[in-house]
Amino acid sequence: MSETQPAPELDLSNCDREPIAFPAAVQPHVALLVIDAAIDAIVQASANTSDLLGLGHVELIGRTLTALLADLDAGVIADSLASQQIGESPFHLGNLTVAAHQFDVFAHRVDELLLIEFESVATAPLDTPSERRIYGAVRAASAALQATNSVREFLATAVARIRDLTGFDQILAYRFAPDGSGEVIAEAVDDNREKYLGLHYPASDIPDPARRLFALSWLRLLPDVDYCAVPIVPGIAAGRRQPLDLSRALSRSVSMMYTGYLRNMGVRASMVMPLYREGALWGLISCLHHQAPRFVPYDRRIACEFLAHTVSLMLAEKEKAEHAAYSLRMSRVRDQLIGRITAEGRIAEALTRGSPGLLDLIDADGAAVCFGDEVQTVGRTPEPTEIRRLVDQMAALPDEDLVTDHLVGRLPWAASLVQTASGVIFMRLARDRSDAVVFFRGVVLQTVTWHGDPNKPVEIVSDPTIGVRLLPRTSFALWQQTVSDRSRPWLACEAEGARDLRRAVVEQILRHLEQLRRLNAELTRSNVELDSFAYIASHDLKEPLRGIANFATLLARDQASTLVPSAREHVDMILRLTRRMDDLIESLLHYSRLGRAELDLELVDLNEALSQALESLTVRIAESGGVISVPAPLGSVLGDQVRIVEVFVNLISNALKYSDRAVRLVEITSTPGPPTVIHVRDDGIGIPPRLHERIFHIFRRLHEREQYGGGTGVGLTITRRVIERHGGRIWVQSEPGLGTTFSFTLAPEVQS
Amino acid sequence: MIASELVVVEDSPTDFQILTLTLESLGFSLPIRRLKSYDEAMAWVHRRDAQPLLMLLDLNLHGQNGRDILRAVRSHESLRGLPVVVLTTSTDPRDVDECYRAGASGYMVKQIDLNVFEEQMRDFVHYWFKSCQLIRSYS
Repeated sequence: MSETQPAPELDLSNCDREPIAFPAAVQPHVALLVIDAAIDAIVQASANTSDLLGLGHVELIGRTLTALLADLDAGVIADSLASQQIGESPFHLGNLTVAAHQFDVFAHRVDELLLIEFESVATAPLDTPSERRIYGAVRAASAALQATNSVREFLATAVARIRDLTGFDQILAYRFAPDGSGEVIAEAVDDNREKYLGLHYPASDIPDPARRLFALSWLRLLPDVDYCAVPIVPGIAAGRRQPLDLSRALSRSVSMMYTGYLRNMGVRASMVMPLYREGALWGLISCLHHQAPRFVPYDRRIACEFLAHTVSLMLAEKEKAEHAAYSLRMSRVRDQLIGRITAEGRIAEALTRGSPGLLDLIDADGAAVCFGDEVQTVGRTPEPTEIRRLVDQMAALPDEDLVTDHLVGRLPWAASLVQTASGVIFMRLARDRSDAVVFFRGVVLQTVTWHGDPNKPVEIVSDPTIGVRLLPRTSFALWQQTVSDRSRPWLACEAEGARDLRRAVVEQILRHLEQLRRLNAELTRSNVELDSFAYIASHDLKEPLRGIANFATLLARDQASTLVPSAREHVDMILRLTRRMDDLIESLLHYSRLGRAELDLELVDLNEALSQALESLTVRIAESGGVISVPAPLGSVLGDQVRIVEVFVNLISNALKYSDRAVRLVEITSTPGPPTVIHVRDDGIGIPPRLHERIFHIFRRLHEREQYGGGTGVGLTITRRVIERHGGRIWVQSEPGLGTTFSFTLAPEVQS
Repeated sequence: MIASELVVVEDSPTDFQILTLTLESLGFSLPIRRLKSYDEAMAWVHRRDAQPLLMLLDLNLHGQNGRDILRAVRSHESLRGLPVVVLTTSTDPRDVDECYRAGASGYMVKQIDLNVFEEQMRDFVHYWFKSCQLIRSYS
């Protein structure tokens, strides 16, 4: 019967190319009419209308729907159609009996076309229970679902109830893994049948086009796998370019790959309902019948659909309830961890030291916190350098977080880390840096049983008459795979717990930053106040000091003839002391000025700054027998030229001052940065290590005042302040007797 | 109006005393008018009974700023040309810079060593009152 062959213009060679939404054919138990709603005219009809409705499809084309419904004596249908807003999903218009055939009639829209489907109920008569009995069954099933305590029990209940409603001999609840493969996690099956529970199916068994179709209909019935597809005539309606979109039509003819696959499994009828968890495809309920074709009438399908809906709605709640105690413990531990961060301030340490710790939060083998340069670990983890590398690479992934039991799948080089890091939960703490909390799980050897070799989901057949074809697998022999690069999978509540922790930690970081910002502002303010205090105080100190000095001078002068020699000496002493105090005050003023004055930043040629410094030191260099050497050009830095000259003057004059040698060598070198490091090395008396910090303290001289040429003891303090105002730092290396090297930078160190 | 006096803005009595003693010892004989606070100096700028020859100006006047007096002088019609020499404790390069920019005629740092101070004052008197011509009469 050529009429029932698939439309010849579609060459169904494989699933990925097969446009399964547009088969231009229907299953034989449904008659399809396509009406151009604008003109009420039938533009396409399936070629089985004469079998089912007693009207040849050729005569139907061009007729009005109104006239047809009148001919079929379908007033109820016409009324229902007129009173309903028909949308994109098939709507049940009512029942119809035509020539002893019983039909359920459905309507839906595709663009401006109206699709009417007449589904024959008589194809496979079923002992039809009353509506009330079905309602009772659904209500009982809902209650039973509510009462379950685990996801497996929940799904087992669902499939058992669906078996009761449909009479299919095998009902499977199938859960997708993140990689798209599936596992049967609940099953209701006749005792004499092969059990599929626990078996795995590769992702290719349900190709992407099929997954997309799940989103469009809650239930898909294929009552007879061995059906002959009925073409729609004409294949493309007059004036249209594309075949009709049958994605939502319940009559849609299915993929040959799918029927082939089912046939190879020995299945004669199937019904599929997708399961969603919080909006995302989670799995399927797949109903199989092996003994014979099996039709499920509309009222029972509705009941099944309702149960699948209920399952979808309750899934998340059931999963959560299953781990309620664990979740509760997690939130308690999280609060304690956050409390520790608040108390201790140091995030990485607070999370990894003490009890309870990260491993009390989530049942992982190890955990690490990367914060800035710090990597703190607890439990069994990769080495810190490997963690750093992992975190940098995971941070470069587009994913906000990474929760996987198969890290190698994302980062193939991590194969060497399977012992400690087969699975990770990676939670980033900052968008632009590699700060993160990571949980690790080591490898767990697992045996996965596939229903057929997952590597050969299709068979390639080459035939000179038809070319190369892909055919669905014929072998469903169990295929055992040992998996040695996966960890125990993470529970949804564990990922959620890690996310909650991240949220709380980030909140703490933000609060901490705000606190720092406030403290900084306060510190800046009090520094400015202190500086201006020192400035004013110093000025006011100078005035009376000058008075003392001047009047003492006048006294000595006026009484030159009467003062005894000892009194004369005392006046000289007063004068020396006032001069010294004046020097100290002047240094203090200088120091406080550094705090108040803005730096005048420009690109400073260090060679130029050095030669300016040497110029002002000419006399001192000559007097001390100094030999200054600059073996190589020093380069340039961003800084305040005047201040940098001052730094050179201070360091070089110190180098010249603190030496007992007749010839004093001072060498100035630099190491390119960033930031550039400048070294001033001498061969002087050196500084014992215990005093390395003290030399920078204001007015702290290490020697007798008059030794080594005297001085106020403020030079290095000022030097350090100038350097720190530039964002740099100064440090000293020295060995007593051998010499001292002062090294400094004029910019912050680059964060790696 | 004939100008004849040296105006000294100085809040410190000690400093003023040393200054007058020093000037005396140098044989400086012109009348000296002391303005001993910021307010007094400001009032003088706006109303005075004699025209000055030169002003010696201290910068730190009990926390108030001598530079404002300099600016007031420079923006006053009949004082605009008055030589103003700053005599202060401040060695801050910024103060030096700012004073010259505001129109100071000279900038001297008060020395703690009386001998050095006397030297400084001798140069000052010699320069301004012997070498230079000052505005002697105002129309």
